[in-house]
Parts: sequence; structure tokens; C-alpha cells
Amino acid sequence: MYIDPLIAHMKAPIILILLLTLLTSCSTPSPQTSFYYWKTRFKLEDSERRALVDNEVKRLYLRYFDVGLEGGVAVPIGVLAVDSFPKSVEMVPVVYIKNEVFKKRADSLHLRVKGLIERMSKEAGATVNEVQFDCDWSEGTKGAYFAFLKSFKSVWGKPVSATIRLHQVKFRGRTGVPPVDRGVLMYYNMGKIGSEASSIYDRKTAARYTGYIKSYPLPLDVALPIFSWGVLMRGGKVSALLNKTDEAELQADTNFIRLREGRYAVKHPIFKGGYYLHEGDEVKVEAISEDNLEQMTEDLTHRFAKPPREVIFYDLDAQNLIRYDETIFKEVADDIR
Amino acid sequence: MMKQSLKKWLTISVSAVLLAVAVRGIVWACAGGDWDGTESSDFAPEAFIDTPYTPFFFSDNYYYDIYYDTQHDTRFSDDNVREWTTYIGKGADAAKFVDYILNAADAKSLFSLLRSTKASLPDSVARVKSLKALEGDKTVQFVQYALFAKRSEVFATNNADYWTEDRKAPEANTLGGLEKELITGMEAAGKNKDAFLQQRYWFQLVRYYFFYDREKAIATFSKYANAFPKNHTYYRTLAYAAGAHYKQGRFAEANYYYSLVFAGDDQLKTVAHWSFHPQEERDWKQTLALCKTPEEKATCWQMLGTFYDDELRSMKEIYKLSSKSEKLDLLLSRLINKLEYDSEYSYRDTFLKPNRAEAYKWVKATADGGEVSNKFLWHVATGYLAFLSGDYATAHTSYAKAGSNMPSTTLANKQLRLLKLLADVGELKRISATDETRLLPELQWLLVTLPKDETVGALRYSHATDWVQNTMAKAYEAQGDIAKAECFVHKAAYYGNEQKVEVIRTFLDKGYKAGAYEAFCKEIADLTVADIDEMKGIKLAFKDDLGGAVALMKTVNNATELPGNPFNGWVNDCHDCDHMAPQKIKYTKLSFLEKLAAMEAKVKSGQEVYTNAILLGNAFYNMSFFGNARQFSASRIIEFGADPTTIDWIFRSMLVDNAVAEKYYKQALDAAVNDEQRAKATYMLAKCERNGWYSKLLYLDKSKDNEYYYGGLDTAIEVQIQRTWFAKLKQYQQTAYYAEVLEECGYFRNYLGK
Repeated sequence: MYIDPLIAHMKAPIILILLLTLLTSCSTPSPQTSFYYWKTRFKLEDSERRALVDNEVKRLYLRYFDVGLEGGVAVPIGVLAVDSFPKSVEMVPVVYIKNEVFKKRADSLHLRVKGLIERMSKEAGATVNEVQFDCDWSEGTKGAYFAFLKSFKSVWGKPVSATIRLHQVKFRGRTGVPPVDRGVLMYYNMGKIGSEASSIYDRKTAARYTGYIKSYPLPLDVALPIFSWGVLMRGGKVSALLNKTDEAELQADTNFIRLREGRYAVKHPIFKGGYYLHEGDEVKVEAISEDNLEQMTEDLTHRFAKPPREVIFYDLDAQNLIRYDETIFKEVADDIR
Repeated sequence: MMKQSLKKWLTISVSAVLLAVAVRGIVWACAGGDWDGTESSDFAPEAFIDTPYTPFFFSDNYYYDIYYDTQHDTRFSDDNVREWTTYIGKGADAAKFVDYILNAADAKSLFSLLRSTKASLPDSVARVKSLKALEGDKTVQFVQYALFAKRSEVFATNNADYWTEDRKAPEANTLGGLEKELITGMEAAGKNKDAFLQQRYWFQLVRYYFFYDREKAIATFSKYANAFPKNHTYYRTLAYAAGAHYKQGRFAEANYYYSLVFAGDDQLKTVAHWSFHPQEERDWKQTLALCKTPEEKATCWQMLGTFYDDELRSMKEIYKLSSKSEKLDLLLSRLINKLEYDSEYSYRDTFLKPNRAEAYKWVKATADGGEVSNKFLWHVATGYLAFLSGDYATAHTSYAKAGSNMPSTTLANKQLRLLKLLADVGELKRISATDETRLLPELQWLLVTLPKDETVGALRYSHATDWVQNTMAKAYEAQGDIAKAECFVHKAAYYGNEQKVEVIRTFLDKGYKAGAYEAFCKEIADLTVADIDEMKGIKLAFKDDLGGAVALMKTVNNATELPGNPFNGWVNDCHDCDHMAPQKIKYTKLSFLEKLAAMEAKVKSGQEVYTNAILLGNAFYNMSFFGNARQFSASRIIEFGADPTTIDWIFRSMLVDNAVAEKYYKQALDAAVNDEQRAKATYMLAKCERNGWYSKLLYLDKSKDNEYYYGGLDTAIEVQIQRTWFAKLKQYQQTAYYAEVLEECGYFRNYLGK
């Protein structure tokens, strides 16, 4: 019998927890724990593989490719390189489409996107069911994006979901509701990058939106952040985002001076994460703590018309995982009702 | 703030062009085509730096001058044809054949060419009858090699469709043993002591391995790295080895190799630039550690300073390594261009300006040190930084030193001359007659000669022109020489004061004869007495002083005809319609005024008062900004675009005023003999009233200066407008004219609530 390595790694206590969970929550099943995988090559590191097992992850939302413009024409960008997928987890292809794409005519885009998803899945030996689209559409592109979703859904014939940003929940009268089966509420990237509050998550900012979730006319899942980044500020302006940068790393680096919590100045010019940091540049570190995740749980509970089917964490990456308890993701998901 | 107003200017300029009324400055802003960050520059790197560095001159574009590198698969086409033609040794005429083989024939036709005895060669190469007959000849070696090259295209130049085709290189086992054949080819060439061919096979093999076995790519490159000359083929091969290191995550080695490519092959500089990417500080340090000579290290610093915008740091490092290094020069030119950069002219958002004081201090000390090679550049740079810092004495000394080290190019000569003039003008406090005599030839050169000079090339003198004109004008204004100030910079506001008008008129009439400098001032002012008198005539016309206006306009002698019938008065204004409509009588400004004077005389003497008064009303209405003959009011001095906010404040209230028109419409109303006539006069008064409110609330409200109104007005303004004449019009409901207004005038329908 084939035993998937993921199952083989499963620890006995976790199976017990799973059984207990099943027994105690028959009436309102807890949301499933899922992750986004947002890299350009699919290759799980040990800790990432373990996180899937420890948190009983059944679905992985995998960025297949982005769609952007090249010379005014929509093209796939950063296509995921993949050899094969683990069999125990269902893969949900996610396609990020830049808003600019819908400012141009994109008549047969749905067919191209479908073709590429199918080809990639076939090559990786995966059977895919649901497809998810991620696009920060605007009032100006709403018509073209929704038309795309409609056309895609009609040729795809299986479930289609889309990410929904907080402002799109609050101002749905203006931004519209995408014609998909489900939405995923992105509970992050809520602030202006470079402002004093965290641009990833700010409880006060979030509170301005949570009241509108219940009346949103789509069944919603929720995506929570577990990533960190350094906002590189040059001459008072945002110059770049340093992915996966966290406080511990900068504190240990003698090229930086700590100005205050979460804020560092570049003492000596250096290369970091592919960027060249000038003397005097500042880095504002933004990250999500376990406390933040608990706050989100509190603030989101009973905010949904129906409890979410899944809580999807963004994103599965060894560098993010080191900041958290191994099973916190499942615990957070269990608590959201 | 400045940026915004500049953008607004550009918006307005479109309308200005439509109206064919040129507003100075706007024309200048539009004339340069796309903005590239050189708009505020007086310092042309071309005067100092070698051409291969041109793409890396400081610019808002990705690459200066070429914008983007688009030569990825054509970069070496010409070199290849030339080198292979030499190789096969069949004379220069064989170039056509070589070109065909390399750039036109596909793999299949090359294959049959090699096999057949009666080759189907194109006409142009029919001279080479049959390749079979040339066995052992280098031509066969070449075609054989070309066939391998074509077979490599499936992985080396991938132009597959993004969506439907696989953009990955095909599996190695589908390539028909290409690797082995390339190895054999290279070995055979080696045995034959054919170094040219062997090196080419080496290139192909390393390229092959880049796609299929990266470690072998590096090993194969290294094995023969010293076996061949350092030519294009060598650097192309090196670039693939660099790429292989990069793909293997060995960034230090990759960047080191790319630095060698950058320094070694001018045609691959943009490629090296694109690929040079230290990820972490340790990569960068390791890259430096890999350098074998100070010159190699200098290249790395040059790349860091240029690609990552830290010129001063890099220059300091390079100078320590090699004070004579030419690699300093590109960085210095970029530093200067950044320091003179004025964001008022740019849309660029994140831009870190170097510290000028620090830069000036170091550049001066370095130039004074006398070690650098390009002394002309360093002294000019010091002089210019001194000028930018207000240190004119140093500027002059440095420019003098630059002068004695100047290369014999016209661009270098003009560049130094331009910068010297800036320093001369910059240090002026009070402009004396001696200054004027001294500066005259230089000012003439800048303001008169250069704009007509077709050999001006890369010299950047637009900003200098503006700056000199403004600085001179300011100085003259400060010392009370207002006519000369106006000659250097024309300001509409000057003409709001009658006395000042007379001062410039006198200067243009007689004053300019005082000397060569005064004559030059008149020349650059591009103004005449007639221009002044025309403006005065227009002003009198708006005051309904037709006698005075006619007298002045007679001396002006402007034969331009007004574009439409200035006596039309419709329910809705449509200038384009009026301008296109056939016209029996065309009016010049003068004949128009004479006709008005004749009509006024008739009104005064009681002849056909209604008709003449209503036509006079129409004419004064049409002269105003709102009418079809607003061109009457446009002149060399009174300039405007398609929106009233483009009229200078000094003339704006005059141009948007319909008071004289209203006076005649009221006279017409009084003289009207029936309700049709009354309805018409009343409606015309309503039009004037409406314009009056727009002027009061929008165009003459200084707090709303330069706001540009697209589409409708906001309701806050709309509600303030009073419509006394619309109210009066309602008493003529039985007239045909009323019906016409109701049909055509949306404002009136809105007013009635219909």
C-alpha cells in the first residue's frame, strides 16, 4: 500500500486531536486549515511539509502564475516550476491578475488561462478542481474582470473562487461582487504601505470593515497573514519591499541601527535581498505575531453569515513558520466561527 | 506644487495649440519630445565620456538614448557575417553567402546543402557551385557549424507563445546527439589547429551546457578560458558561464564574470548590466575578493555606483584602487547630472540626491590632486559644482584649468563656453555697461546663434537659456532697467501699467539704437512698436473708444483676417460653425473696427437703431473671449489658450467682460419695435449675464486660479448664478424667437424646469 510521506510523518497525538475535533464539533465543523504557496518553484522544505501534517492541511492554494502586460498584451509571468505535487493534499491553482490587464481588451484571456492551468496540472500529474483568482480590481476594471470570471466559469465547469479585499466588502455597492462560487476575504494588506501603522494588519483599521462581512452576498472563507516584510524607505518614500525580513534579522545585523521598535536605519550601505540599501535608508519591519492572530480570531468570530469553510494562511514558507508554534494555524482556524 | 502646475501647463498647451495661439514657454516644454530627465541639465556627458557608456548616462529612461536593449538576438549579426566571411577566405563578395547561411537559411536547407552535389544555392551565391566539390574547404566547416547553430536555436532563442507553447528548453535526448557532435566538432578543429572554429565550437558547447548541464558549462568554459583571444566569442561564452553560476546560486562568481563581460565587451555592457545582481552583502564582498587586479575591482565598483545609484561611494573606492582609472568618469558625469537635476521638470518619484557639499569637496580635492586622467572632465565638473554652490571664483579658476586640458571637439568647446557663461551671469550683481559689452558675444551665441546651429549635437542649452534669461531679467528689474528686463523675459503683467508700456515702446522705437547691446536686446525681445500699438488698440476697442483704436490699428497694419463673421449672434455659440460658414465679407482687425465705428455713428444719428445696436452688441460680444472673433483680441502681447484661465490676469477681466455688448443690447431692446426683436435682445442680454457670472465665480476669482474645468460646473457654483434676463424672457412666450430658444438652449429649459 502506498503511504504518503505526509501521513507517515503524522504524529499520534495529532491524530487524536483530529478524532476529538470530529467528535466534538459535529454541529458546526471547524474551518479547515489551508495555506497559500506563493513561490515560483514548488519544492517543499521539511518544515513546510511538517506544517501541512501538523495542521491537517487538506488543500494548498498554489500560485500557478501571474498575468501582467508585456507590450500591452496579457502574458503569464513567473510561471510556477513544478516537478510533482504531494498526493495527500488537493492543489487549488491560484492566478494573480494585475489590474492593468483589464484596462486593455482581453477577449480570449479566459481560454488562455484555462489552457495554461490545464497544461501545468497535467505536467505535474495533478487533478485540479477549484481555481481561484486574485485581482485587486477597481471600479474602472470591474466590468472587464467580472466578464472574464463569467467566461472562465462557463468553460471551466468546476468551482471558481476569488479573493475579496476588505474595501471591496465594505464598498460592494461600488466595487461589485464577483460572479464566483466563493470568496476569500483577505484579512491583510489593509493599510497604506509606508504609513505609521502596519500595512499588513492593523486592528483599528480592520475594525472599520468587520461589520460589513455578514451581509456580503458570497459564501466567504478567510485568508490570514503570517508573513513579514521590511518596508524600505528612502528619502521618506517607499522604495522597495524586503520580503521575509523580520526584526530578529535586522537586530543581529551590524549594518543597521535600531531606531525604535520595528524601525531600523541603514548605517553602512549594503546589499540585502537583492536590493542595495543606501546609508540613511530606513527599514520598517512589519510582521504578524501570535497575539495578532489571536486578535484576528476574536474580531472575526461571529462576523460571518456562515462560518468559513477554510482559513487560509499566507504563506507557507519556512522563514515564516519559524516565528510560530507548529500547530497554531490549526488552533486559530478551529477558533473562528 | 511646482510639478502640478507644470502638468497643468502641459494640459493647457494642447488647447493652446488647437487655437494656434502660441504661449511662450509651453512651446518650449512640448518641443523636446519625451522627457528623459535632462530638461534641467546644462552638462552633457557626451562631451566627456566614451560612447560605449552612453546607455548608462544618468536619465529617467531605463537606458539613456536607446531606452531599452532590444538587440538580444541581433547584437552580433554583422560581426558574425564579417568574421565568417574572413574565415572562409572567398573574398568580400562571399559576405552575401555567409549572410544567407547565418540569417536566412533554416537547418533543413543547410542540411540538404551539405548533402547534395548540385546545391540549390540562392542566385547571389551561385558562384560557389557545390559544397560537395569543396570538401575540406573552410566553407564546408562553416556551413556544418552553422547547421549546429541552427539546431541550437530550439533552446537558445526561445520565441514560443507564452500561453500555449512550452517555453522550457526541450529535453536533451530530443536534440539528436547535439552535445556529442559539438564535442567532436571542437576536437576536430583543435586537431586542425583551426583556433577560430574551435573557439566557436567552444562557445556553442558552453551555451548548450548552460541549458542542459550547468556545472559542465562552467567547467568547459574554465578549461579553455585561456586558450583563445579575448574577442566577442570569448565574452559571449563567459556570459553563459556567468549565467550558469547565477542559476546555481553562486552569485559572487556570476557577478565577477559579469563584471569581466562589462569591462571586456562594449556590445555586451547592457547584458552584463541586466544580469549583475548581488543578492546579499556577502555576495558583493566575495565578488570583490574574486577580482585579480585593482582594475577588475574598479569595474565592480563602477557597476555598483552606476547600477545602484551610489556614485560618490564608488568613485572614492575606485580612486583608492587606481587614481587614473577612466572608470571614474562615467560615475562623475552621473553625479553631476544628479546634482543639477531639478524635480520640477520630472515625474520621477523616488530619487536620492547626493549630498552636494560632500560631492563638491571631494571632486574638487580630486581634481586638484591632478592624478585623474580625464582632467578636462574633472576641472569642468569642479567648476560646475562650484557654480551650483555659488562659489564663482573657483568656478572660473577650474574652467580656466579645464580650458588648457580641452579635447579638440566642438562639443567640448561649446560645453565649456556654456558653463563659463553661466558662471559669468551668476556672479553679476549690478549689470554695468562694461558687463554688457563683455557678455554681448556670449549672450548672442547662446540666445541667437545656438538655436540656429545645426551642429549643436548633444549640447544641453535649453535650461541654460531659460536660466540666463531669467537671471538677467531679474537683475535688470532690480536696477530699474525695466525695458531690458522685458526684452530678456516677456511678462504679460508688464503691460498692466501705462507708464511701463511707454518705456518699452520708447526703447523699441528709439532706445535700441543706443548701441550694439541695446540692439541685441530688441532682437531677443522679438517685439516691435507695432506689437505695443496693437495691444493698445485692442484695449481702446474694449473701452469702446473706436476712434483711438482705429487710429492705432492703422499704424499696425495687421492683415490677418478674423476667422468668422464677427456680427453673428446665435442662441448657442459655435465658433467652429461660424469659422467654417461661408463669408461674403472678411474683416481684418482694422476693417472690423471701421465697420463698428460706422455703425456707432448710425446709432448715434438714430438710423436703424435696433439693427445697428444689436449688431454692435454681437460684435463686442464676439471680440470678447466668449465670441467667435476672440482672435481680434489675441496679439503678440495678449496671449491665451482655449480656456479663460490661460489669459494672464492683466488682460483677463478685459477679455471676459461683456459690458459694452450689454450696453448695445440694451439700446437695441429700447429701440425694438416688436416682441420678436425684444425677445432676441433680451436673450442676448441673458447670454452676457451668464458669462458675467461665470467670470465672477470662476475666471476672475483668484482663489480658483488655474483650476481647469472639465465638463459641467459643480452645483455649488451653479446655484449662485442669477438669471434676471431669463425671467424677463418669459414674457415673450408667444414669439417665434422664444420657441427657438426653448428648442436650442438647455440652460433655459433647465431654468424653466423642463
